[in-house]
Amino acid sequence: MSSRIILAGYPNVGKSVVFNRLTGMDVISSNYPGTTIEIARGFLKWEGERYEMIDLPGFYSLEPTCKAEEIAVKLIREGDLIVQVVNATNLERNLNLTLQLIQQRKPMLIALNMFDETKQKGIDIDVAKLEQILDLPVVPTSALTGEGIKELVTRMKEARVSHYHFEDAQRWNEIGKITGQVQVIHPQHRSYLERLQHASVRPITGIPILVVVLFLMFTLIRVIGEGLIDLLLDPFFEKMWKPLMTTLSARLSHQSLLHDLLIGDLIGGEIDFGQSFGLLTTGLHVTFGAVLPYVLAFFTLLSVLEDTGYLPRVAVMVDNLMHKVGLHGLSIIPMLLGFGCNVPGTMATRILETRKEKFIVATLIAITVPCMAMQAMLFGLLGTYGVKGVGIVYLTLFVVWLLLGMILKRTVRGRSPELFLEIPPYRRPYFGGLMKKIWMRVRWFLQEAVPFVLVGVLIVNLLYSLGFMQWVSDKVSPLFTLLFGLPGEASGALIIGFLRKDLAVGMLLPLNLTFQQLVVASVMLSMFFPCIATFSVLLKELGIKDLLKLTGIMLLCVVITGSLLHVILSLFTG
Amino acid sequence: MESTLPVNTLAEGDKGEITSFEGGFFFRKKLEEMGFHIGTTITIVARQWMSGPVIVRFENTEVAIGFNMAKRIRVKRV
Repeated sequence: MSSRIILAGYPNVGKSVVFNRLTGMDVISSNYPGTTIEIARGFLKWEGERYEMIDLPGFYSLEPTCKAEEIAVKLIREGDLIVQVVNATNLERNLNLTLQLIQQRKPMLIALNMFDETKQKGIDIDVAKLEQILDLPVVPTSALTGEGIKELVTRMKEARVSHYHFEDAQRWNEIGKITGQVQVIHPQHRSYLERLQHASVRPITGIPILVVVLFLMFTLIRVIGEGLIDLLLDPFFEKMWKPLMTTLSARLSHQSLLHDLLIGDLIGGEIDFGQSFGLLTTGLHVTFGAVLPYVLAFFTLLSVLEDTGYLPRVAVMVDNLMHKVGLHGLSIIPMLLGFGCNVPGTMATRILETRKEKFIVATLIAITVPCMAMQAMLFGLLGTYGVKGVGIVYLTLFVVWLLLGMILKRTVRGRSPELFLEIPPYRRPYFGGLMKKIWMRVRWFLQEAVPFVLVGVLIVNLLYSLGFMQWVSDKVSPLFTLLFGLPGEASGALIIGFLRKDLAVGMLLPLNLTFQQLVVASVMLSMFFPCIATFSVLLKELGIKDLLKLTGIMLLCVVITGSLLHVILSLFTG
Repeated sequence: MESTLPVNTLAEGDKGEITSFEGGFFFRKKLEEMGFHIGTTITIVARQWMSGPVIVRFENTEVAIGFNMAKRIRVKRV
């Protein structure tokens, strides 16, 4: 047996689940192309030996035309043994890759995955015959339940270089001949799941389904987030953490620098988690007590949608809308991720083909997609006014999204390709994989958020005590009042917004703004500089030139939108 | 020669056998990698409104194809 095992296969064949089963390592297993572009490595332990196992990015061809395929081909050449994961319900198409892999002349075996689904679909595969024709071991598996995985490992030592010969130009004919000999398909009645699959891609039923799914998703995020806060986090912070901090506050002398940093200001003689601005008070409360519950709820629901296979259908449904802004349906995926956190959203622009698409999506996310931290604060700030306040903010952001997108479509040079996307069948998510994915995303948020919130609190305190905030606020005050109807102090929130959006909203609270001012400030804060973590990812993904362009567009958008909204709201509220 | 038509003109439920791809090397490659080749029989699963993508099925695979791409795949009815 060999030392380096390569796991190859098309997207949507359950390759990542097989990999999880074999190695038990942290990997993201996903239904849409793109997330497996990073190569996962793990170790397979068997009979006291350790073998390195490499999960190739999901790819379609061994004649490389893109980066992922180049990497795949290189890794296959360097590997000692190839395991191809084949989707048994899709034999013909998968054999196309099998024949290409056979030409690599490496020891190989085949995991005939999703074998349990063939029964339901009325597909009969003669496995022994397939083995004989391909001259390779073929092991039926069902990675979701774990069936056949053990046999796959035991039979790895039978892996061999196939002696199957064919003319490459005749590949599709060869495949037809093979499937003709080993596969019989019995016509079946459509299952309940297949009916649902069909309903969700036909516009007449699919659009209402999409609206219901998105509505349910955002309602559930609020219900779960608020539930966690009311039942768990508020009691913890108010009943346990506050007394502890009050004791600490009494121990430290009230005017000391340490008290200012750790506890912050006392509001009416008491600690106020929203306004005190100490590291241990506002700093911890914002991250864990206010934003984390929503982030957790968001990524749980999004990951479920992803692993069941619904997201590609969303891409189909919104394709028309996306064409208006120079994109196609698939770009909805980075944008949806952006609603959770702009950082993974921006990174997901890698799944798009052209520079034009990437620039448009990254710009629209940075300016018009509020992250969960921003939204949680938005609800805190405007929630008391009902749907009206929050509604105006979202509507404004959508209008800017559409108009800015339409302008970018016409001005950014480059190609806007067409949607071309496999729509996988609905599947029950693999629980272990789902949990790992949610945990990785939440951990990501914590790694990004916690340091910046703490540094942010530190800097706010520093800038205040140096008089910098007062100085800026005095300078911009006339401009802010004239253009946006906001007091100069609101500029402090915009400055801090660059560090963390959630901290910035806390700075608006003590200003006692009117409803109209709150709406304008919220919109501007959503659109103004994305947080610094997003900014550094933008630099990495777009390069300095495009980032400067984006920044220019952003500043222009903020000023125009802020002043227009001020005028429009003044007309309505008199 | 039999008459052929582009995929985007087919209605939901129609079947066609692919006769040609009207595009360059990369266009063909993109389609072949997904499993489409001359002779593949496809069924139209659904069509979106207003020049939206067409969803086709072959074997057990469903693929969404953008309208302008679907225009360049010709089939004969079966």
